[in-house]
Amino acid sequence: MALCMLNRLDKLFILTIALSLAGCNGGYSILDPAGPNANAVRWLWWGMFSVGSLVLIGVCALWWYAMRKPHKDYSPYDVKRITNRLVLMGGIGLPVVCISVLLVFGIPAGHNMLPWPSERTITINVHAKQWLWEVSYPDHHIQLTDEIYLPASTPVNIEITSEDVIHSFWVPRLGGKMDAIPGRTNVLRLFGDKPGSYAGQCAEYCGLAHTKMKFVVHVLPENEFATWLSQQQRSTGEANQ
Amino acid sequence: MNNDLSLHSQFAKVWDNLPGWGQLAAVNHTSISRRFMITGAVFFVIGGVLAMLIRSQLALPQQELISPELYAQLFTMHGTVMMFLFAIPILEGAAMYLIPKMIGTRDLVFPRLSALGYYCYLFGGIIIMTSLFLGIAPDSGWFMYTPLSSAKFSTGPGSDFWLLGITFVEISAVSAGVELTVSILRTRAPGMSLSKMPIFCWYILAMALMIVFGFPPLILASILLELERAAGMPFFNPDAGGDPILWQHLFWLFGHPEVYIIFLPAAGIVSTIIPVFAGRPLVGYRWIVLAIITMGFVSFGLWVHHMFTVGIPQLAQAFFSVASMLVAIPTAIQVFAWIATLWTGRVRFELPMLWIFGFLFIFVCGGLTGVMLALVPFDWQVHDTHFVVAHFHYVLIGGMLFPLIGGLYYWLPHLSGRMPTMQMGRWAFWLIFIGFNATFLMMHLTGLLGMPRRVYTYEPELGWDWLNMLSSFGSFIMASGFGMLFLDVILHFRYGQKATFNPWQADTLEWATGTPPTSYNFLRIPTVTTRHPLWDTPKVEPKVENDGQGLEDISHGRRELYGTHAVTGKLMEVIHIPSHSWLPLISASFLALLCISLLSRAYLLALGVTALAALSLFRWAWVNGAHRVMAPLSDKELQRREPKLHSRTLSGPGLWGMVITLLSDGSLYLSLVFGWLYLWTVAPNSKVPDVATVSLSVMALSGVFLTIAVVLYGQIVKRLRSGNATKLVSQLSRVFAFGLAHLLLLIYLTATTDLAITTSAHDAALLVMLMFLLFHSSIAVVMTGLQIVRAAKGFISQTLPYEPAVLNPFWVFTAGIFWVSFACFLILPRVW
Amino acid sequence: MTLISRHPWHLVAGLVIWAIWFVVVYGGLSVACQVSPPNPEQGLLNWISISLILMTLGVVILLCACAIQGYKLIPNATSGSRFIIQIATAVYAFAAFSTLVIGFATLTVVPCL
Repeated sequence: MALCMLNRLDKLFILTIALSLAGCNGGYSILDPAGPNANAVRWLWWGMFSVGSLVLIGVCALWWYAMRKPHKDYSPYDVKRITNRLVLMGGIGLPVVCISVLLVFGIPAGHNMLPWPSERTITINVHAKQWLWEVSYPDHHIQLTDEIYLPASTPVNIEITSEDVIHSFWVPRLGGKMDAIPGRTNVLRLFGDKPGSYAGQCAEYCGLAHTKMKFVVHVLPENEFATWLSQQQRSTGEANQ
Repeated sequence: MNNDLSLHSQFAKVWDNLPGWGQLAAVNHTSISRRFMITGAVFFVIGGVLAMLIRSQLALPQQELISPELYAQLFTMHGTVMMFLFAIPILEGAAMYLIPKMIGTRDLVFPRLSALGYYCYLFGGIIIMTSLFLGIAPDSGWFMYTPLSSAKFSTGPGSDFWLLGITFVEISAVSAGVELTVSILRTRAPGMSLSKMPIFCWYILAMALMIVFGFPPLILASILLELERAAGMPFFNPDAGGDPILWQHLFWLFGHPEVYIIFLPAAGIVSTIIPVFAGRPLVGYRWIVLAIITMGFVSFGLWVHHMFTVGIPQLAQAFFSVASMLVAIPTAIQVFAWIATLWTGRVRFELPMLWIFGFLFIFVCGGLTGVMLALVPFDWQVHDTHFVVAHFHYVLIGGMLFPLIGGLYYWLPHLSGRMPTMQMGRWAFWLIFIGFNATFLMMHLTGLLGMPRRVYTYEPELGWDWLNMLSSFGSFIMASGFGMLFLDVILHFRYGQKATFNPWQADTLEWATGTPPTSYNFLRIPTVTTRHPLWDTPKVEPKVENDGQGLEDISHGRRELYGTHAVTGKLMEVIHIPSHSWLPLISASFLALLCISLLSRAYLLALGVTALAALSLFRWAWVNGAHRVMAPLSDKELQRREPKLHSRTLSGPGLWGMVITLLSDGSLYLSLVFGWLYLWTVAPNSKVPDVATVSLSVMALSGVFLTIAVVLYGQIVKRLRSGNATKLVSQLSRVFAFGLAHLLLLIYLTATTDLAITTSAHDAALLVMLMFLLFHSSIAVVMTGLQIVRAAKGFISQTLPYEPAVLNPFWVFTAGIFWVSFACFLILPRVW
Repeated sequence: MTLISRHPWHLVAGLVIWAIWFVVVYGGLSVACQVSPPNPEQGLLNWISISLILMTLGVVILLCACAIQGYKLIPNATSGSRFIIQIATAVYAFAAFSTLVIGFATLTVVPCL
C-alpha cells in the first residue's frame, strides 16, 4: 500500500517536472515560446544545456579518476607531457572549441532579433511608470494600460521609455527583455507567430510593487488585428467627440 | 636551545600586543587578520539569516510572512552583507594572516594601516547593520541602480547608509590591497625570487592589485550619488544632462572585477591545498601564473555583460560577450593544471580535499552557466531572473565559499594548534553540498520558467511553487550544515588532537612558524633557495654568508623585517615597522563620526569631525618615516652585520606604498574623467559643455606655480640621491611657497567660478574635478610644510634622505592630474 | 627593434596594450555611434567598422611581434630572466589572441544598431 502510494507520488512528481519543463501552465516560460525569437533562444538553451552537462560530467569524472587511480611514478618528462597535454587540450582546446560552436549558433540567432529597418514593421510606444505600462499606438491615437495588441507574424518595434525609475519590459514567451530607462528610448523587436495571450512583467526591480507590475500581450491574426485597430480608432474618435 | 628560549622571550617583549584594553592598539598582522576573519564570519551568519528569511517568504506562493518593504531591505542587505562585509574582508583577512608567514617575514609592511583597515571595516559594517535594526535599511537592491536609489525615489536615509557605509568599508579594502601588494613585492624572504614565490602569493598579488584598480570606480560612483542625494548635483538625472546608465557603468566597472577579486584568493587556496595532498609540486606553475595574470586583466573587460539589456550598440555588446567567454580559458587552464597535479601525484583524501571536490563540481557548473549568460540573445531572456541568481550563487559559493572552508580545515591546525575532526566535518560537508544543490540547481529552471529576481511573492499556477519549495527546503538543510560546521570548529579548539609540526606535510613556510604562531612568526628570517622550502631543505635557516643574520638581534627593541628586491628577492635593506599604536583606532573613530554626521545631515558637525580626522591622520604622518619614535638611531646599528635601515635609503617601502596608492588614486581620477567624457558624449541630453565660466588664464597661472613647485621638489630629491642635503629647509620653503601660491589661486578660482551645480550635470562634474585637485594640492602643500619642520628637526638629512623620495611621486601626480584636467575638462570642449 | 626584455613590466605589458585597445575601441564606438551613426542598411563595411578593423589588425601585429621576439629569446635566457620572458611571451600571445577574437566581432554585427 505504502509502496503503491510512493509510486503514485513518484509519478505525480515526474509529471509535474514534465509539465513545468513543457511550461504548459507557465505563462512566463522561456521554454514554451510563441514566436521565432523566443524559439531560437529555447533551442540555444537546450543545445548549451546538453553540451554543458557533458563538459561538467567529463571534467568531474576526469578529476575523480585522477584522484582515485592507482599511483604510478612518473618521470619528470612524463609529468611534463601529461601536463602539457591536459592543459593544452582541456585548458585551451576545450573552451576554444565550445566558444566557437556557441558563437556559430549564437550570432545568427542574435541577428534575427535586432530591429532591422523594414517596411512591414509597426511601432508601439510603451511608457513605463511606477507601477504600470502605458501603451500607445502613435499612428492610430490609441491608448491602453497594461495591455498590448499585436498582429501575428508581423515584426513589431516596441519603443520603450520610462517616466521615473528603470523598469524592464519582458514577455518571456515572445522574446528577450529590454530596459525602460528615463531619458532614453530603447527599441525591442517583438515577433509573435501564434495568436494568443501572453503574460509580460517588469524584470528590473523598480520599487515596492515591482512584483505586481504585469501586463498582457494579445497576438491577433492579422485580419482580426486590423478590425481591432479600426474599432479602437472609432471608439477613441467617439470619445473625442 | 636555552639561548633560543631567552631570545623568544625578548622577541615576545617587542612584538606582543599590549595586554587588556591595549589589545585595541594592536597592529600585528596575526591579531588583525584574526579579527578580520572572525568579524567576517559574524557578518556571514547575519547575511545567512537574511537569506533564510527570504527563502521562508518564497517557500509558498502568495505568502504574507514578510511585507514588500521589509523584503526589499532583506534582499538588498543580503547581497550587500555577503559581498562587502563577508566575502572581501574574510579573504583579505586570510591573505593578511598567511602572506607574511608564507613569504618568510614577520609582519605586513604597514602594520598601522592594517589596523586602520580593520576599524574602518568594523565601524562601516556596524553603521550599515544599524540601518537594518532601525528598519531603514537600503532597499534598492545591492547594486543600487539610480534613479531608484536617488533622493526622489528613496526618500529615507537607506541609500545614504549604503553609500557612506560601503565607501567606509572600501577604504579598508583599498588599504589592504596596497599593503598586501607592497608586502609581497618588497618583504619576501631573501632568495625568494618571483619564480620561487608560493603560488598563493601570485593569486593574492593579483587580487590586491585588482582591488587597487577595481574599487575606485565604485568609490567615485558612491561619492557622486551621495552628492546628488545630499546636495542635488544631478549626475544621474537625465533632465539636467546626467544619465542613470553612468552609475551602472561605474558600478559594474567595479562589480565585475570584484567577482574575480573574490575568486582568485579562493583559487589560490585550491592551488595550495591540492599539491600538498597530491604529495607533489603543483604542475604547470607557469601556466597558472599566466592564468592569474590574464584573469586579472580580462576581468576588467567584462563589465557590460551585466548591462546587455540597457540598449548599448550591438557591436559593443558583442565585444563584451566575446571577452566574457574568453575568461573561460584561464579558468580552464587552472582546472586542468589541478587535474594534472592529481594525476601525477599520490593523493591522500583528507577532509580539505572533500571541500575542494565540492568546489570543482559547483564552480564548473557555475562557470558553464556563466558562458551561457555571456551569449547576448540568451542573456536577454534570462537576465534578472532566478537563472542568474542560481548562476552567481554557484560561482560565488562554489568558487569562494567551498575553497574557503577547505582552507579553513587545512589551516585550522595553524590557527589553533589542534587537528580538526573528520566525522563532523564530513557531515557538515554533505549537508552543505546537498543543501546547496537542492537550493540552487533547480533554481535555474525557476528562472527559465520566467520567475524574475526580487519579487516578494508569486502566483501559484505558474509552475514556480514546487521549485521554490524545494529551494527553501534545501536552504534550511544548508543552514543546518553551516551550524554543524561552526560547532565543529568551535569544539575543535577544545577537543581537537594536538597538531604535530607541519601536520599535512606541506611545502610552504607558514608551517615553519609555531602552531599557533608567535607574534613575530620567525625568530630568524630564513633564506629561500627553492619553491618548496619545507620539502627541499631539511631545516629552514638564514644563510649567514649573504651579509644578513636573519635579523635575530632584538636588543634594539625595534620591529624589523627584511626588505628584498621585488623581482630577484635579493636582500636590500632592513625595514623597521611601527609597534602598537592608538592612532588607527582614533582616526577610524573620527572617520566613523564623520560618516554618522553626514548620515544625520549635521554638516557643521561633519566639518569639525573632518578637521579632527585630518589632525589625527597628520599626527600619524608626523610620527612616521624617520621620526625618532620610528627610527631611533643607536651606535650599535652601524656595527651589526645587517643591511642598512630603510630610512637611510631612498627606495624603502614608503615609496612603494605611495606609488601603489597613487595607482589607486589614478584609477579614481580616471573614473572621474570617464564620467565627464561619458556625460558629455553619451548622456541623453548631453551638449557640448560650455567652459566660459572657469577662467583659463587663472587656471593656467595656478598650474605654472604648481609645475615650478614640482620641478623644485624633484631637484631636492635628486640632490639627496647624490648625497647632498645642504640648505634643505630653504629649498623646501621655496617649494612650499610656490605650492601655496598655486593652491590659493585654485581656491580663488573655485570660489569665484559661477557653476550651476544643481541644474547641470556638467557643471557639477567640473566642481568635483576642482575639489579633486584642491584635495591633492592641499595635501601636497601641507605635507611639504611639515617637511620643512622635519628638516629643521633633523628627520630629513644626509643620513635620513627617505621622506622626500616618498612625497615626490605625490607632487608629480598632483601636477599630472592638474594638467590632464586642464586639457580634458577645459581645453577639449573648447577645441571640439 | 627590440620590443621585449626581461623587465618585469613585460609580465603585464601585453594585456595593458590589450586593455587600452579595448577601451579605445569600445569608447570610440560609443562616441562614433552618438556623433554620426551610419545607416544599418549600408551593411558591415562603413567608416566605423573599417577603422575598428584597421586598429585591431595593428594591435594584433604589434602583440604578435612581441610574442615572437619573446619566444626567440627564451632559449638564450639566463635562469633568472627565463621565467619572466616565458610568462611575458605567453601573455603577449594571449593578448594578441583575445584582441583578434574580440575584434572579429566587428565582422559579425553592424555598428550602432
